[in-house]
Amino acid sequence: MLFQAARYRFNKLSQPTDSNAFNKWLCLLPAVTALFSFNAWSATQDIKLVSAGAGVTELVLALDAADELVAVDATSYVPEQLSSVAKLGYHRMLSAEGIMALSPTLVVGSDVMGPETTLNVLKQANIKVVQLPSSADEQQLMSNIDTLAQSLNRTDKAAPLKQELHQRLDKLNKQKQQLSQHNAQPKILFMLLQEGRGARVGGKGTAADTIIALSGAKNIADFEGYKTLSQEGILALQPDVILLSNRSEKTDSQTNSQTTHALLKEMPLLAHTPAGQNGHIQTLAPQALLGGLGISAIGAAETLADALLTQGKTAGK
Amino acid sequence: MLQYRWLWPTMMMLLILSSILSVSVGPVSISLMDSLSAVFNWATQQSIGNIAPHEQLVVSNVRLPRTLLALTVGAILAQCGAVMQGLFRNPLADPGIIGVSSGAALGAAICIVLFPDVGSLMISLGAFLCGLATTLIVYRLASNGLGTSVVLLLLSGVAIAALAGAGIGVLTYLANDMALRDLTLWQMGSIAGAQWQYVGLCLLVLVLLSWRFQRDAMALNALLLGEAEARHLGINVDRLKLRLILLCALGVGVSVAATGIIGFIGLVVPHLVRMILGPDHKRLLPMSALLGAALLALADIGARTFLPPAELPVSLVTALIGAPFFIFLLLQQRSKLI
Repeated sequence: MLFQAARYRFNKLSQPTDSNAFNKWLCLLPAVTALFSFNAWSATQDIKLVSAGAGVTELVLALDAADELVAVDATSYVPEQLSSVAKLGYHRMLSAEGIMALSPTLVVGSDVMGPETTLNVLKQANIKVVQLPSSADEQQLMSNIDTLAQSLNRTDKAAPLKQELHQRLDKLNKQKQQLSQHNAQPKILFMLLQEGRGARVGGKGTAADTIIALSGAKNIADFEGYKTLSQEGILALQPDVILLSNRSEKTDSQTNSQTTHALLKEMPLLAHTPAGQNGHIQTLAPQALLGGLGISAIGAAETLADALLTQGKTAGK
Repeated sequence: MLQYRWLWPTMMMLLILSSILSVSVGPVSISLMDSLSAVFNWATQQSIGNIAPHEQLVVSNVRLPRTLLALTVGAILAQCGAVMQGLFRNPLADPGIIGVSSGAALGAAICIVLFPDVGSLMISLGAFLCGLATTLIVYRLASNGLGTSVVLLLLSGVAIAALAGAGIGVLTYLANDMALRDLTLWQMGSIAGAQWQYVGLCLLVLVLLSWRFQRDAMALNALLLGEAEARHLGINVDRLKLRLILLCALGVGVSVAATGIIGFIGLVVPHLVRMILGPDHKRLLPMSALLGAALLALADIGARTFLPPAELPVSLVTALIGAPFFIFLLLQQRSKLI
């Protein structure tokens, strides 16, 4: 980075002058600065990063450190151009030797990353291991971004990211208030669909619950964790909006109306809930459910909040 | 048929070879000589050769405990399998049949789901205690004042296993996503989390079992003739059964606690040895131990090298090798079975 900066300065300086001697000296300048700053330079450039945990990887990408990634775990979502990055398996069952074979300098992950024996071996091998507590609130998310940015030598990227996320959360809060002014909080039911099996409904303490709360709605399922509910049980709950997520990733390509159609075909009883009658069925990207309060969870909450607001308006008319 | 005196050195060679392979093969490429010097360094606390510190660390802190754990657990499981098959006079019996594995799985599930904050040692302890308890229940169900019925033992083993399975099902249903993942992964045994305390414990149990089983080898041979015949030979059959079942429960319980459930070693290895050597337990038991140790070490090499940097649970590898072999056995014995 410093090297690039020096080069940039050199290019700028060399343009107006045509003197060869001056140019020669100037040529040395970046080399000298590069030499003096070699230690700092190597610290910023030679990070080889292993990231384990969906939420953490998301932050790594947001901090623009994708180039440093050498491996991610199975839960992490990486864009297509990074598909050559090695896949580690599940982040609670990391293989010490597998990671060491990639000779990383830094391993970042959530606080549930493990097992402990693997982390101990990595630390003994002088690989820096950073564990970020799972973020349930904004404060934790911001401090995670700071910690991560520091380990990645990207403190300059942290401030704008934090600023942006803070603004988005603020806006969500405002929408929440707007929503409560319009009418009573809509009742949302989150369903995780699995091929050929009953739908699992997300209750308290699930990632879906966090997203629903962020969007300003009320999660109608008041039990802990995920439970399989029958169609009849869902009908009895009478949700205003149904939020869906699919295990497969093809949901992204389906439009909402297609999803609605498919769902009502599979579970015809749901047509008799307010959500089914009004077609208030939304999909949720699967990766938003993985990382706690993080960037994609905020994104999902925004989509949901927008939908709720427009639905509230149309319902009010 | 191979002669016993040739088999000994062959098996020892196989064991040594697989151990050497196991400390020198893995995702981090370290040459054979360097690996061996690293082992030497570890054992003697010296530093010969020019080994990078991270290579030394990989060998002494990752591969060595794994290798030793694979060897001991393999030897324990194979011997317990041989003993169970002898005891039940059933070639398809394996240590899981008296309910140890399913009981241990239930114990681990209870720890993982209901007490999510306990460490891996507590999970192991829970698994071991539940495995032992299940075996005792199975044994109590199968015995009355007159003795123990093998058929009843088998059937109650099946029933208790089903009950434990239901218990695991209930816990799975209650579990949150994280516990669910842990539970699933725990049930697929893996040697990846090898720790020295497990190695020590398993080694201790292995020595105890090998010694005791060897002393009971003649009695097991006599039992092959039938229970009544064994009694006539002056063997206290009921005490023998109780002792062997408890020892197997101890062996399998400790193994499961250290590595999770690893199938097929206990089933397949004694068969292989019996095909070569015949059914004499005096030879069958030590050979099974050697072969079981070597096979599990080899399977573990597969587990860590098939898709680096990720790692397969070793039970998947043993099942991938074991299941086809099992089918082969069934086909071979089809004429006898029908």
